[in-house]
Order: sequence, then C-alpha cells, then structure tokens
Amino acid sequence: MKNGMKFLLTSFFALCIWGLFLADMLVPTRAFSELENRPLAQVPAFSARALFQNAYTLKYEEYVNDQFVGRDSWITLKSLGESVLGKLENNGVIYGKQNQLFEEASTLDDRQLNKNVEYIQEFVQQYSDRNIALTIIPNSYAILEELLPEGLPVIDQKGIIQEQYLKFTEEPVDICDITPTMLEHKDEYIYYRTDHHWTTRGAYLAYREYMEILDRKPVSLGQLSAHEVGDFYGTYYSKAKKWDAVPDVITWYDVETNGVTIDGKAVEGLYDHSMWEQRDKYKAFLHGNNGLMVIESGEEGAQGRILVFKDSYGNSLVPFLVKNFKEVHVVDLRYFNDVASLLEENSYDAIWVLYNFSSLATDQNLYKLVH
Amino acid sequence: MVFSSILFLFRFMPIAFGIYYLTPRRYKNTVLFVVSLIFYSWGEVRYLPIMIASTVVDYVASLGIERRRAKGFRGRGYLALSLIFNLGSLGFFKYSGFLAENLNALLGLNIPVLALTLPLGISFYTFQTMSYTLDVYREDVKAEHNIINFGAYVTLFPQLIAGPIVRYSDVARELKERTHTWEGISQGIQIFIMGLGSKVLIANNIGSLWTRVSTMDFATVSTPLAWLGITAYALQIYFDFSGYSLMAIGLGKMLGFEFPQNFNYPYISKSITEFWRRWHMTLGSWFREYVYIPLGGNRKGAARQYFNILVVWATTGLWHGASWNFVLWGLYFALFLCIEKAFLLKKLEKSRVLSHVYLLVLVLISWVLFAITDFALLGQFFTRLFGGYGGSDWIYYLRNYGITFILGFLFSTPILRKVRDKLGENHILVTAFCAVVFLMSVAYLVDSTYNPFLYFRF
Repeated sequence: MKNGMKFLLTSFFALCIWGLFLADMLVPTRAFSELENRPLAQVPAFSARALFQNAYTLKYEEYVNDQFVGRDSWITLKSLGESVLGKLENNGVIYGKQNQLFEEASTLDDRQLNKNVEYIQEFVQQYSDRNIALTIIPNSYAILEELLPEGLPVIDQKGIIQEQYLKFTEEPVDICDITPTMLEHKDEYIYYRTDHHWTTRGAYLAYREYMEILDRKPVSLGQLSAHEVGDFYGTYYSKAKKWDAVPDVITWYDVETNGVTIDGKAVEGLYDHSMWEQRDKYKAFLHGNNGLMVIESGEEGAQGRILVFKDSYGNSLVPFLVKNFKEVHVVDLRYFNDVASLLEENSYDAIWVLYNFSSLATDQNLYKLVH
Repeated sequence: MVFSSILFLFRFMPIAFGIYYLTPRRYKNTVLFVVSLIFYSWGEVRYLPIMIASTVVDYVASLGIERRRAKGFRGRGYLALSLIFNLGSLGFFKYSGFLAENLNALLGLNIPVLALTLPLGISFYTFQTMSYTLDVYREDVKAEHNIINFGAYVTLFPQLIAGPIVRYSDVARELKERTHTWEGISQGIQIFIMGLGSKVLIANNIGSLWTRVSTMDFATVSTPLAWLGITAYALQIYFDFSGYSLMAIGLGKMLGFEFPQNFNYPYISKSITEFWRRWHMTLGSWFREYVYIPLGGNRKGAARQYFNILVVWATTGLWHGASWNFVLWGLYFALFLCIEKAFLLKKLEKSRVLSHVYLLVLVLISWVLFAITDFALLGQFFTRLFGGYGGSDWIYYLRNYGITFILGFLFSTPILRKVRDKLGENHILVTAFCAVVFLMSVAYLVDSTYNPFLYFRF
C-alpha cells in the first residue's frame, strides 16, 4: 500500500487552510491598494450595536477579503483562469484585437445623459453672449470598432453623440465635432491600449479641430519637444489584470508657463513629474483632477483668455491650449462649485465644454454649470 | 456565512476544525453546537432566537410524545405543538407578506404587508426538526434525551443553511458515536473541493451570462440568445445548488457524518419522473414521506393519486418561494408527472435520444418559470424563445462562454467519475486536480467579493 500517498490531499488541504490562515494573520495590513486605487478595509471596531445591526460581521468580512494574503496575485491568477476559459473579457473589460482593451458598453441608461445635455443647453442659453463651443469626445470602442471582438453587442455611440449635437442646432453654441477626425486617424495611436483615456496625440487632434473653429493657428507637433514615458499600465489593466497586456507609452510636450495655480495655490508647471514614476501615470497631466486651475502662459504669441470645462480627458489636451492662450482657466466640475461668479468676474474669449461620452452619460456634477 | 468565502475557508475552517479535532470525543458535539451557532449567527444574529426556539420546541415535543406514549396516549398535542410552531414561523416569515398581498388584491382589503427578512435557512431547518418530531410520533426513531446532541443535529453547520435536508434518522447513530478516519477526511476534502469548484468556477461563471440576459430589454433579445441565456441559468442553478450540497456532504464527512446524496446527475434523466428522483433528492423524499404517503399516496385509487401529486407539487413549488410563479412551476411538473404516470413513461424509457431531448426542453422551460417572477416579462421571454427572432447578439456570448458551457455540460454527466474509476485510485492525480480546482476557486473568490447564493432566498 502506498501509505504516504494516501495523505497527499489531506496534507495539501491542511497546509492551505492553516498555512494561509497563519500567513494571513502575520502579514501586516495594507492601508491602500495601488492596483485597485482605493483604501483597503481595516479591522472594524467591535460594538454590540454594530453586531446586532449586522454591520460588524459585514465589515469584518470586507476586511478579511481586502487584506487577504497575496490579494493581488490571486487576482492575477483569476485573470489567467479567465484566459484559459477562453473568455474575451474580465471584470467588465473587453479584450480587443491588437492588445486593445475596451470598456463593456452593451447598454446605455440615458437618463443622466439627457439631464447633462439639458444642463449644457441651459448654460449656453444663460450665457448666450459668450463664445461657447461643445465637444463630446467619443470613447475608444466607438472609434476603434474594427478592434472589437466579433459580435460584441455595443451601443451606437457615434449615433448617440450626433443625436446630442442635434439638440443644439437652435442653441448659441459652436459644435466642435471631432468624431470624423478621430475616425480618419483611427490607425494612429490615439487611444491607450490599457487605459480609458485618449493619448496625447488623440487630444492634439481635438485641439486642432477646435483651433480651426476659433480661427486660430494650431501649433504643429513637430515644433514641440516631446518626452516619452513608457511602462504605463492604465485603468483597464488594473481592472482586468490581463496577463499579456502590452503597456502604453505616454507622450508629453514642453510648454512654457509663467505661473500655475490650483484653487489659488501655486504649483510648478503643467505636469506633476513625480507621477511619471507612479502606477497611475496619467495623473501627471495638470497634476490630476482639480477644481479650478489658472495657467499663465509663457509662450510667445499667446493671447486671450479661455475657460475649459472638462473631465480627465481634458488634462492631456490643455497644454496645447497654453500655446495659444495667454490665460487658460480649467474647471473640473467635480471639484468646483461657483461657476456663476467665475463667469461674472472674468471675460473670456472662448469657453469650451469638453466631455468624453462615458462621463457625459454618468457624471452627476454638470448641474453646477447653471446652479 | 457561506462556504464559498475567504472568511469561511481561512478563518472559520481552520479555527473550527482545529478546535473540533483537538477536543476529546465526549465534548465534540458541544464544540459542534457552539461553532454552528457562531456560523449561523454570523450573518443574522437577530434570528438566532428563532432557531434556538425551534430546537427547544422539537426537543420538548418529542420528549412529551414519548412520555404520553408511556401512559398509553399517542401524544397528538405535542405533535401539534411542533407542527404549529414550525409551520407557523415558516408561514409568518416566508408567506405572510405574500398572503397579505393576495388577500388585499382579492378582497380589496388593506392588510399591512410586513417587510420581513427571511431568517437564514428557515425553510431547511424547520423541515428538518419537523421530520424528527414526526418520526418520533410514528415511532420510527427514539426521542433524543441529550439536548446538546439534538442541538448539534439541528444546527449542524454544514447542512444548516441550504441542505441537504438531513433527517434525524440519517445521523442519529453518528450523533452518539462516530469515527474520524483519514480515509473519511480525505474523501470529505475531495467532495468539498468539487462542490466549491462547482459553485465558484462553474455556477458563478456561467451565471453571469444569465445575469446579463435577464437584465436586457427582452424585446431586443434574439431567439438563440434567449435559449443560451436559459441554458446558462439551468447550469448555474444546478452547479450552484449541487455544489452547495457537495460542500455540505464533504464537510459532514470531515466531521464524521454521512449525509444523504442530494443530486445524482439530474440532467441525464429521460423523464420528469426520473429527473425528480435525481434532483434535490432529500426534498423529494421529504415530501413523499411526510405529505404524499400520509395523503394516501397511490393506495386510494388513480383519481386520489393525481390529486395527491397536485397537492405535493403545489406545496413543493411554494416551498421554493412565496410567489405565484413558483406555484405555477410546481404545477407544471405535476402536470407532466401525471401524464408520464398515465402512459408516457414507458415510451420514454424505451427511447434513447428523444426522451433526453424531451426532458431537457421541458426542464429548460421550467427554469424560465422559475427564474422570471414577473408574469408580463415571463410572457415576453417565451415569445423570444419560440418566436424565431434572428440577430447576432448571441455570437459574442457563445464565444465568451463557450468553454464554460462545455465544462458545464461535461460535469453534468458522470464522465469525470467514469474516468476516475478507470484510472483507479491515483492519489497524485486526484490531489493535483483538487489542488488546481481549490486554488482557482480561491482566486475567483478573492477577485469577486460579491458572491450571493441563489438558494438563500428559500
């Protein structure tokens, strides 16, 4: 009788259960997960009240899950498992061709979208004497359709964007529709593979389109000195942890400034260079998302003042505007509340409302444009 | 607490089993009782008193029956006490809202509808404790005098929440003396891991397809996708529920108990009659034992038998959930069971292929009745299933879930068991297979904190 073998499974299981239990107890708790970009649950405080409201046990379980030993590696193993099962997606991220990752978008709840469009309509009516333009940035799955897996159900984002634009035909606003330009350049590197943002090149295309509407001369990329940062694994990667994901390269350009403030506090330049070393490198652009950023251009020939309402897509575009405008005001409505005073105190040569489709369909802060 | 959670695997298990194995034999039941109470009250501390009350009531009722017997009575009063208490608490928590809603609608009344959360596992443990008192009343078993032993039986954590419905007679001997062998523990681990894999790797995985389809606007779903969706649901509910039962049986074995089998490859059946002998077997035998046979079974003529079948299946349906669609679901099975009894069964048993097609189509339709509680949506889904609507929406899903479907189909048949029998007892192979399943299950569990059990509704 093969005596030792009989205990093989039992030993394995016992080792797993007690070994991981002990390891889990010994490994110090982590405060924050870089990968998930969120604080992790900590040991909850015990109270009889919390226990009877079922709150304590719930929190304790969250804590055990969040702090489980080797959490990140287990998540990678799961992603690998999904690949073995031939899955074309993981955790809501679709695996496209040529290593392109996409967000899942098979349905659209258009309630928030309609609300947001109404807020923009109200805004342009209220400030009809200003020179306002609107751009809805298409997301990668709308432009890079050929890279989507065959038969993937996906909403007709381009069509929906056009429907939104049509709502503005009677309104005092310039529609800066960048979709045709983006489609024309779809074979270029205009969207990151592993992140939901557009690349700096994608942003440049939108900038060029807008300058045409304003009748200003866009800077050409060749005139700028470019810098590259490699090894960028973006948000789609963090979600899906695709084992063979191909990292992205971020390009950024030197732009001269004479002073930059964020919510009144001075910061150094347009980029937070320390972020290039971090995991979420996109945060380097404009020092991440902030309430009100005021940029004094140091570029020769820059003139006038512009106000941009934007989500994070705008962060990589704004540096180009600093080439043309003496003063650039950048507002992120998620962190800024007083639009009325800002418009009262400042005259602007141009105002640009610049949102990507996903956030236009989900963001709950656009009411601040008019309230 | 659910078995398929990091908390259970790496907190409860090492601690509870550690203490259990180290405790001397005579205190093992006390340990079981205590850890089971902790297991139960983890998610639902407020409902612990109800379960303890159920334990005490049936303990007292059965002793009472025994005492009355000694004096020459039957002890009906005590039996009534147990039935009223168990059915009463089940009725109050599970069906009072349903009843009030229907009375309001029917009679135009305004009875307030209570929004109660269903105490965890109440459908299971009330049936278990009732079966005990009924068995004592019928003199099938002797009353348990040791309340710790009885408490350990009622609260026994492996089967507490979602079955199998272990009758007292199944484990009466093991409660008093049971042995813990390496052989038994090893087999228990194997069964537990297979159950864990069924639940985490197959049920949850394929279930996400049904989740997607069921949240779509049915008016846009193509006929192939509708069938794909309901097939996914059929696999999900099977692997979810049978996986849970396997985990329970495995844990039971590790503790020295032999629980009854609950699933025996139901999808390979050739008739509805056979299907229900293979699906949730402990529930079927419970209803047969305590409802169908007491009603007269098949001993009082054909008409009475059909009536009995109807009663059993309406209540079986209602047991699954307080909603009309579950009653409809039960009666749907009753109809086909009657038809088969009348003439069809013999023909089905002779057929080799058609009977399987017949069974699978009928079962899939039954799952539609089961899964969609809204009658308007139910109708809409049926039109999609049989309306022949084209579309390409199914291509992506078939590609995405193709391998998972194949695994689901394979493991719905006894193929793995056959391969195992052929290879003989190869410990290295078995261990390697179990290790992969276990580690992958942990990885999927870590990845998803969201992990509800379908059968928790009941």
